[in-house]
Amino acid sequence: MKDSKKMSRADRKNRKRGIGIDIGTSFINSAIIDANDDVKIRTQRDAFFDIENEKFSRNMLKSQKANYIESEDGKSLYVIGEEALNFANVFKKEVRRPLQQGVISTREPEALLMIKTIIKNVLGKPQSDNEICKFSVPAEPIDANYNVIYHENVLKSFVESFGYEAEAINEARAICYSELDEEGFTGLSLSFGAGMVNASLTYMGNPAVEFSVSRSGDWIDENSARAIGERAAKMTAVKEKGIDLLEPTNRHEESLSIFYRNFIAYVIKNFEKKLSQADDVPEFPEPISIILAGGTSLAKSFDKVFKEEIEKIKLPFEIKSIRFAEDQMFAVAKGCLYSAISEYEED
Amino acid sequence: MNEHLTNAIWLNHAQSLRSMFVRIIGRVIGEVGIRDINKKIAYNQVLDINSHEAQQSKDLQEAYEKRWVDIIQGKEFLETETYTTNRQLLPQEDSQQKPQVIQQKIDLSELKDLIVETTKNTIKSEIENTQQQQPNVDVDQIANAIAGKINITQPAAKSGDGVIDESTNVFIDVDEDKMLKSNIEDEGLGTVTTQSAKKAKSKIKKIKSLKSKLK
Repeated sequence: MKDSKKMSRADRKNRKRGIGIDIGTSFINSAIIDANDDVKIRTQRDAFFDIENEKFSRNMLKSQKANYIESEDGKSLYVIGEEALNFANVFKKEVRRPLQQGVISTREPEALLMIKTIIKNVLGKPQSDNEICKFSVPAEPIDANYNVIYHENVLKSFVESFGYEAEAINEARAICYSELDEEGFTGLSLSFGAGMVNASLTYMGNPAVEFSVSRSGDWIDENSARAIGERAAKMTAVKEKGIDLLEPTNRHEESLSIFYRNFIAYVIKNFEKKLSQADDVPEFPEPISIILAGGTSLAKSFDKVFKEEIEKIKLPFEIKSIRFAEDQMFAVAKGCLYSAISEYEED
Repeated sequence: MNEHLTNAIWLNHAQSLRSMFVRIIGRVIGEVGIRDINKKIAYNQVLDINSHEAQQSKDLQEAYEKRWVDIIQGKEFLETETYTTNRQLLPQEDSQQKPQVIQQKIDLSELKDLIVETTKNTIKSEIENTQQQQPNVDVDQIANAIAGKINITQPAAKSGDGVIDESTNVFIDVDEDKMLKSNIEDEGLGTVTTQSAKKAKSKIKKIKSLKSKLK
């Protein structure tokens, strides 16, 4: 795996037709296959931090090579991406997010234009007119009273305004496309994002049950921070540095690991409830695999805690294995990409 | 009388005293216009609508069906096909009639002619009624002068505007051309990770074959 900042012009121009984009609460990842048959994923943190629009600030940002967007009234500069998190930690404030709990934030008045700018840049130009772009969307939450209709329609209109033919795909189903090919696209795919957990139970690629739970990484950060009088941004940084849920080494990690376990138990209880109520759960002839993906599943021993908690409930199918996606961070973007390319005739 | 029975009687009476309204909550970020009863509801806003009005509103019915609004109380008023209580629902108007959520196209020329005609008739009848002798008043000239002040130019259409055939577009106010100023270079955001596409190709083949089977 190689990391770099830029993608060459040839990469962009001669790439395969079809592009995938995972529009998440914490990260936006786009995926393509370039002319050298490499998968290239562009990833951008979906966060911003506002500072006053003054000459001094602009020069400082320029020297730091930080990307920023000007507010509509010109009074503020929104530092975006990784630098936003750095600024938030320096100024001991919280970062702001254009997405909240998986959908466009109602708290941020400029969320729409912010998200549009980021998506446009991460996607780049289409390779041909109306190139197919599959973008991820969450399923309806079962534990919260809001829907995703507006979110999906706005994102579709944005992607189409950049010259693509946009098609929404459930983010957990995208994981099924990228991870369950060996099992005939049958299994339970789970995406543990920052804002939500999405689930898709599929039989031979057909979604039987899809739903989401409106708690995830952000909930863990906020609550573990509150418990020890810390800022959520600090907890995010501690978490992303890497923690072992079964062996926390300090106060921050202890708090995180407590709320991680509580969160996993909550999610699994909601699965049990939803699956016991759903009429359309297929009778699987054989045990099925459960795939764990998404940034929140990156914590060490996450799978062990998940196994411990899922053994406590009754599921309408037998479990063959519980495993991490090959690429937990990019499984959704890759699934969107594979699905988009498969729409074209050529290999 | 035992407490349980007292409560049951009280609840029964309270039911009949309860005001007849439908309480809705906005579920679309932005604003949903329920035009045929002249109401607007913002995201998460709670609005009480008289049950009679709610029953007659096809826009409300549509907004509810499409989940742009949720009904917190008084759902029975919108469930027009079943009668679960002894309340008599009002007869529904022609169910085939399309809800008026799409903006009507107004012919401004026709409107202008109507104004001219109405102005002429009104001035003439006023003169006749007051029996004033004003031979110099040219009614046609006045009416035409008023008509000349009416601008019938339609607002300039935005590129991509066409006939609105999907009511969802009416409510979502997203200016597709608008972008914020930034210092970001083209495709200059984020980091790029490169991975081999060997496995990807075989996965894409399998998805393709799955899709063709599903067709």
